[in-house]
Amino acid sequence: MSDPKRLLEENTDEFENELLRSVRADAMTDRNRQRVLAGIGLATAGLTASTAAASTSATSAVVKAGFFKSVSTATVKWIAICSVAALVPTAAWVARSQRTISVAPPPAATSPAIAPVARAAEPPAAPLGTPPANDRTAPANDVTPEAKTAPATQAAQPAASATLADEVAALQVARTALAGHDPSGAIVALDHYKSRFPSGKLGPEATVLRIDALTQRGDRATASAMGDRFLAAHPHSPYADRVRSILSAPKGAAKDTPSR
Amino acid sequence: MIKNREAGNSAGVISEAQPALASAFLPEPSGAPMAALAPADDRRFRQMVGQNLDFIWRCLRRMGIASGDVDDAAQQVFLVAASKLAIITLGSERAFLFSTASRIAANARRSVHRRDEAHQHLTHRGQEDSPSQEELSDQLRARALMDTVLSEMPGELREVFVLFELEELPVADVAEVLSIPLGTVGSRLRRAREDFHDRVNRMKASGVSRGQR
Repeated sequence: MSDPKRLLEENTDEFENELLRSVRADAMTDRNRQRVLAGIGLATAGLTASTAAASTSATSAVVKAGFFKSVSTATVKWIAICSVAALVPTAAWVARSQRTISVAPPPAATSPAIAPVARAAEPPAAPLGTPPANDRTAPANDVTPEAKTAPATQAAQPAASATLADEVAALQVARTALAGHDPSGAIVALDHYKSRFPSGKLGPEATVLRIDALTQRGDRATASAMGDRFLAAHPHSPYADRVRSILSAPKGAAKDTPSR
Repeated sequence: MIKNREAGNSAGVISEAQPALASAFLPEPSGAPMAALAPADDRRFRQMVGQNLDFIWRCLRRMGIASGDVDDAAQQVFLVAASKLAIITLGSERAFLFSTASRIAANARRSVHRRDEAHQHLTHRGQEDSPSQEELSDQLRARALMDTVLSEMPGELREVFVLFELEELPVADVAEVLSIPLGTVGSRLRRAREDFHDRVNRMKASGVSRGQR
């Protein structure tokens, strides 16, 4: 069966053709690519090395599209500053509360530190830290290398603001999923957050999002147990009312996730 | 392979994996799926991302995700894929990713619609700026109008239209990505084109296209 011609090739309606041509502008920018890869815990360098080994034409296309280009320092700064500014009050409270109790103990992390992959392609002078390029001799399951990073105190030293911005971005994935009524997707994103930031400053927010996701998914027993633990640990948290609201909501009346 | 799309279950792949997800996440997950990837899965996942990231990103945008939200949606697609590598048949990675992207785009459209019913064209930002549309370039305005057409098109027609007309995939590839027969691709494509023509004609009749040229 031979393929029909594309509409754009045979269409004579100029207005329709203009609409069809307009989508040609849809393309990932380097910034888009960096954001997505950071969100899924893949380093640009590591990904490229792997796909190059696979010798795929798609990889060539990706490389041609500018896969190796770095995000500009100014752009990264801007993103980090905006993200941190938006979360200063919350992060401050979280930082204080985490000194006294941990609601969701992070998994053990004993492996050698591996640099956050999302920053592997940043220019050396970037203020957000310049970890070494992803080493392909490293353990193969370095898709989420942050899961095996050194303790949080060490991880936080290079650039606390960048880490917080990364945390914000990671949690945003969960928020988006919840807003789209995809609780399973949100839980996947929250697991990813937890592995990347085992001692993250936004841990309580992640816990609240998880409670919301479990509730949306119908697992009210687990959500309730988690919520009770949270309220016992953080009775005066800004999130306390929200947790109570989630837990007291009638079945099937999951609340919309707050917008960013 | 994705088998149940033809049964009208747009969330087919996702629902197949629900039991696995439930057992993995309840009561409290002990670690992220991606952190537990075996070396072979790790390589496979990286290859999936390398080969499909641009494609999925464009498809998400063309299926109605606002430009500012496409990155998050793309992350979500690949996080889902990472958590379900075991059930993704070798060779059908792109089909899985597209199916997931289609579902996420549909959820996003519904979510946006729920959040703000006052807007008529909510899944794209171009229309939100309608008061200043005349200031937009012709191309941006055309893109915003194209968003309107695509977002209002029935889902199964939009998928074929996006893959064949916009992504310019061969019919055989469209059939593979959607896991539907070649004949079904052809019939959906015909209907999608008719739908496209009708919507554009209505747009022109209402004067939306005025000033395009």
